[in-house]
Formats: sequence, structure tokens, C-alpha cells
Amino acid sequence: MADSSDNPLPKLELELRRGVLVVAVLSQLREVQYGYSLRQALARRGMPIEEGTLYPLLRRLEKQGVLASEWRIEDGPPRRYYRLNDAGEALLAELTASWHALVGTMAGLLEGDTA
Amino acid sequence: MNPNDVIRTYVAEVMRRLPGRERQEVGLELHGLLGEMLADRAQSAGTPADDAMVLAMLREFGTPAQVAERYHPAGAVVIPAMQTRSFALFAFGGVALQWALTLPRVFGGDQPLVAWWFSAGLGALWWPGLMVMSALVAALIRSHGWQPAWRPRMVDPERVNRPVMLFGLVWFVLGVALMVSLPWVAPMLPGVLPQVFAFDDGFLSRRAWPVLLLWGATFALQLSAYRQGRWSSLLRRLGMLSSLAWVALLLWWIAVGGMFQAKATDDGARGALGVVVLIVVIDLACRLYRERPSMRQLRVAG
Repeated sequence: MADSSDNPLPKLELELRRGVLVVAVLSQLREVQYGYSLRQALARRGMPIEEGTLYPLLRRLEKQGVLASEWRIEDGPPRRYYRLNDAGEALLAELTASWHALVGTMAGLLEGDTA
Repeated sequence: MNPNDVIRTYVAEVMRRLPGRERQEVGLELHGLLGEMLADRAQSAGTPADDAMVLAMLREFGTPAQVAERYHPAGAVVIPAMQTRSFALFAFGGVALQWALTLPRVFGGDQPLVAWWFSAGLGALWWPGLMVMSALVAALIRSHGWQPAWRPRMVDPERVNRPVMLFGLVWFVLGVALMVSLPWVAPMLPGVLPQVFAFDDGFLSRRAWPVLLLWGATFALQLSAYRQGRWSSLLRRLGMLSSLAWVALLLWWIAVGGMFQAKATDDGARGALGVVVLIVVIDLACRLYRERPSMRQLRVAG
């Protein structure tokens, strides 16, 4: 029986998902979300992400100037809410176009399209 | 302990490792996140949160150091992956060589082990220290975007760089002239220098003369390569023969000794000649390695 460490699938799948993480996160921030609700929204749609990865990613995207954030106190502890700003909207549009082009290319490659 | 206290302690440890300007905000956000994660767990388990639950959750989340690391941007690479192996080899090799040269004093009973350790033993670590400092400087330069431009290697490795070779030949002649004139120049030097550099008469009359032939042959070979503009196969082989002759002559001088009248000068000269022999042997080994058929074929193909 092959050792689980010999199976490269989980690692490769993780790398594949990591590549689209930013697009997935940006897509869900067209609406205002705080970190934990964002994680749940992603998990509900089949894109689970560790909290330890999500929060640093949100801060990095904010530093890159594509997210706006604000602290709010509603029915619970203080939470930091994130949403796309104008630059983020533009970036998401570009990444979405790139994603669709990539999907088309990959579909062609995987189906053996030689055109 | 209250689960909230455990979370607070954990968050404080993470914050301690974060840059000052981000500390408060990340801490507050992390505290809120962990509180919500714990509440979710308790709800799923149908029991109030307790110490075991919070500790299990935090262990899964990662150590404070790991969590803090995620908030830091990726650091600069100090030693590129392709250089890691050679870096380690040179670092360990350098230390090992120094220890190999200095430890015999301990085994010979000339120096206590403790004294060796606090002098040459620990002192040998200057080498990996220098290597790390050099790697840091190189990483700093790379981080500013400087990369050496790639250039194709010389297509014909036997081609002679004439200006450099001419420079070398001039210095060769000057060096030989100095050495040949030393027996006559030394007596005219001031102070104790005539005694220091006084040659042994037996050496001059019996063992020194072959060097004139070798100097002449070496100069003729170099001059021939300079004139042809490249090292031909014949010149390469003659060059290797000349190196072998140099090694034989110098080893003879070292073994017999008695080149200078002063013992200290003679010992120093023998040591220096030993280094020269080592360099010539290494050079000879490199040339023989380059002569391998596969290497020559590769060069032609390239």
C-alpha cells in the first residue's frame, strides 16, 4: 500500500486552490464582511480557508490598496469589516477576465484541443 | 483558568512578535476571531467552552510564533537554494581545515585542549561568520534589483588574452631578474639584510642552476602562446611537462634545504616554496581535468 506521503494529489490541489484564493476572497468582498463571516461565506461555497491564512491575506490586500476597512461594534465584540474599494473593484474585474481566459485555455488543453 | 484569559494570553504572545504599528489592530481582530471560533466549537459540541476546548483550538491554530509569522511579509533570501549545499560545504570545510591545522598542537602536547578551544578552536568560526556577512551583503545588493548580466563564456577556452598575458610576462621578467640578481644585490643591502638574504654557496653552485633552464623554458612557452594567440595542443602538453619539472625541482630544494645561510630565512623559503608547489599541483590537476575527452568534446559542441 502506498504511503500517504507518496500521493502528491493533496499538495498539488492545495497549490491549485492557493492560486485562486485572492480572486475568491475579492469576489466575496463586493459586500461588506468581517473576517469570520467571510470565511464562512467561502466555506459555504466550497472554498474553505484557514483563519490563519485569511486574516493576514486581508491585511495584505488592504496594504496593497484594494480593500477598505472599518471597525464596527454591533451585537458582539468589535469587528473589522472589509469591502472592495474602487481599485479593488477594478482589480477584481481584471482578475475575473484573466480567470475566464485561463479556464478557456485549460479546457482546451485538458480536452486535447490542438487548434 | 478562564478560556477568555487563555485566548488573551495567546493573543498577547502573538502581538509581542508583530511590528509595533500593527500590534493593536491585529491583536483586537485576532481576539475577536478566536472568541468566535471558540463559541462555534462550543455550540457544535453542545457544551460550554472549557480549558481543554480552548487549548485544543489554539494548538490547531498554531503557535504564537507561527501565527505572527503569517503577518510578516516573506523575508529576503540570504542564501539562494542552489548555493545552500556549496555554502554549507565551504563553511564546514573551512572550519574543519583550520581545526586540522591547529589541533596537532594539542595532540602533540604543546597546547592544552581548553587553551586551544578558546583560541584557534573558537577563532576558526570567523570563517562561517565572514561567509554569512558576505551572503547578507550579496542579498542586500540583490534586493535592490542588481543582478549580474549573463554573458556567454569564451567559445575558445584556449584563446589567449594578450593584454593580460603581456602584463604577466613583464612581471615574470622583472621577478626573474630580481631573483637572479639577488646573490649580488643582497650584500649591498643595509643593516642585517645581507646576512638575512645571503645564499648558501653550495646551493648556488650545485642546485640553483636548473631554475634558469626552467625559467627560460616557461618564458619561451608563454611567449609562444602569446605570439600564436592561443594554447595549442602541443603547447598545453609542454606546459604540463614544465609544471611537473617545476614541482620536481622545488620539492628537491625543499627536501635538501640549505638555500640560505640564515636558518630562519631558509625555513621561510621552504614554507613559501611548499605553497608554490601546492598551487602548481592544483593548477596541473585542473589542466588535466580539462583535458578529459568529454570536456573537450563539449567545448567543441558549445
